[in-house]
Amino acid sequence: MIFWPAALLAVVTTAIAVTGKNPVHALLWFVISLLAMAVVFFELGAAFAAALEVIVYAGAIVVLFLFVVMMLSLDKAAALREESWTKGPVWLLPVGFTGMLGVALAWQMLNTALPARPGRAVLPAAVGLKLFSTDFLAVEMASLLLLAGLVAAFHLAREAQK
Amino acid sequence: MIQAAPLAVQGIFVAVLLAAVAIRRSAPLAAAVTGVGFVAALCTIPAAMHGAAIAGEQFDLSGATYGFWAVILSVGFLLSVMGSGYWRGAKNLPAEEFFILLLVATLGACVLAAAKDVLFLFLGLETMTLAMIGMIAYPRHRPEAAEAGIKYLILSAMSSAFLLFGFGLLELATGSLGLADVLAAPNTPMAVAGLAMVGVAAGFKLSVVPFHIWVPDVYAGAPAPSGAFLAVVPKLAVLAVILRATGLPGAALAPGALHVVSVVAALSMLAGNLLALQQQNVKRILGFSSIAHLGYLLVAILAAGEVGRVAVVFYAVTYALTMVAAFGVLAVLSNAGAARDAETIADLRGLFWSRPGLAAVMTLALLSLAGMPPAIGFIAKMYIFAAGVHQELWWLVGTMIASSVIGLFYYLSMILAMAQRQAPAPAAAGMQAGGRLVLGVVSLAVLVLGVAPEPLIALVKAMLG
Repeated sequence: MIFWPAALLAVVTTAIAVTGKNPVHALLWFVISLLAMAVVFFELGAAFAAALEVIVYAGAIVVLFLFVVMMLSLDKAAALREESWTKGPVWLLPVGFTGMLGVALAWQMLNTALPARPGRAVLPAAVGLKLFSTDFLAVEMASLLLLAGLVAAFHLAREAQK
Repeated sequence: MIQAAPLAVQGIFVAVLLAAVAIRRSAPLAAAVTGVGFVAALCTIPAAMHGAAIAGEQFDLSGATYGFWAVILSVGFLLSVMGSGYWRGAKNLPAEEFFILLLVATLGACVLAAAKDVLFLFLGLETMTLAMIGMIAYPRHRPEAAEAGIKYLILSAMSSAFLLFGFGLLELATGSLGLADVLAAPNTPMAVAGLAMVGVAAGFKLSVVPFHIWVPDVYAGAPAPSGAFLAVVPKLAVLAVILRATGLPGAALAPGALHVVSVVAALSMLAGNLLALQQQNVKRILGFSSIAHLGYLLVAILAAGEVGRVAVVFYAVTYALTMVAAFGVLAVLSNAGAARDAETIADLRGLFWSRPGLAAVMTLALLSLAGMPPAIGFIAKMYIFAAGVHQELWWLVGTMIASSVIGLFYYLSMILAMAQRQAPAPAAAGMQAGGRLVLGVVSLAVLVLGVAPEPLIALVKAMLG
């Protein structure tokens, strides 16, 4: 039941994030988009993916982005500029959207009798068992994928030797 | 399970290489470990082939897969040798990471080439792509390299998104992640949309028209050894998947889809060769030339059948050898520490008089790309002609002839530039023994197999059979 509002919210907030000119605002919109995606996953029966979406993406990765953006501009003018961004009612819309998500989720949780959407419920235990039994090769491969990213990033970000 | 030994050996050598770099930072040592790793993986292929046949869930371990693995690993080996000479020119740039990335990218390509389900296909593809971005942007002192890396990063992320969305739709339509099940999807709008999105992603990796926009900038910005990898290995791996997919039951495309692929093939052949005409940068020319060659390969794929399949593999091997030779000449001429590679036609001018050996190799490579005897490219192109004529794909064969004639102009103009006497000799950057060794091996193969292609054809037939 809350699939469609959540999906719509994900699309709308992503569109705002992509078209926004202010990087910090765009990232915050992106957080709402990720939360809406988490609700979508939850609705489809993938509670584990929903939790990962909140913890890893919204929690860790976007916060990392925010730190980087904020560390890029440390002078006084930037501080004043940032202050001007938070004035006025700019916070109303995002908070409203997030509130909608929260209400929808709470409503779904309180009404457990509501029919779930057709789909296969995937429990965290099933994911864990599969990853470390039949799909362990995929886990190894994913670790090599991360290694490639790590080595490339390490090389490109290293200070030039003079 | 001995059958997947080449993959395991590569994985082990990634760990060995990391340990070696951690203990002692030395580019020659890293290059040696990488080279030994490739050779060791190659050596396990015969044993792996003779292992008992198993119906693995994840990997398709057929003769064709081993064949593609052998070509990919050989290219990896040649590039590790070439790279060891090339990076010596850049005094302030540590080269060890290049070899780590090369080894990981090749492993990713091998996984992709063998993948039997969507999970490994995607993991292999992403591993290869991510490592390749590092290889493209490797010389950090060149702004063009960083630009090329970012362009490739963004566009390949987009193509990955297409691939994932397409596979998502196909999984929804079929309830399976196996490649065979996915391809046998019922003809519903959802499955067709999914297949089309997967096709877009494949088109991006093969850089056929209209997904070729990234090619010139990325090829021109990448350092020569990375350019060679980019031009050859991802294409081989994706071709391996396509060749296997077209052999699966239920993979027959609807007539409408076949028309789309035919148009893509014709446009790639024409656009690749026409766009190359105006270029002055040899890497860009090779990039556009690769678009045209993938168009030729699509003709062979459309021809299907026994002859078509052999033509695809034979052409892919030819293309790999020739591109390694052409980029190899650029690598040997270049200095990795300089602001750019020796990559313009002006840099090649007078090469016949200053470095006749290199000029001879480049001429052979260009003749092979143009499809002229005695190089192997002639036989390969004839094979595709034969396959096309056999299946009566008349207008595609006609387009192929027309675009080959257009292609002759720029290949021959490069050869003419090398034969001009006036300009001063290009600044020779070191001797690069490794690069010249690679050129010797590759050009010998191009020439010998061009004169006597029967052993290779027999090998390809045996592998596919």
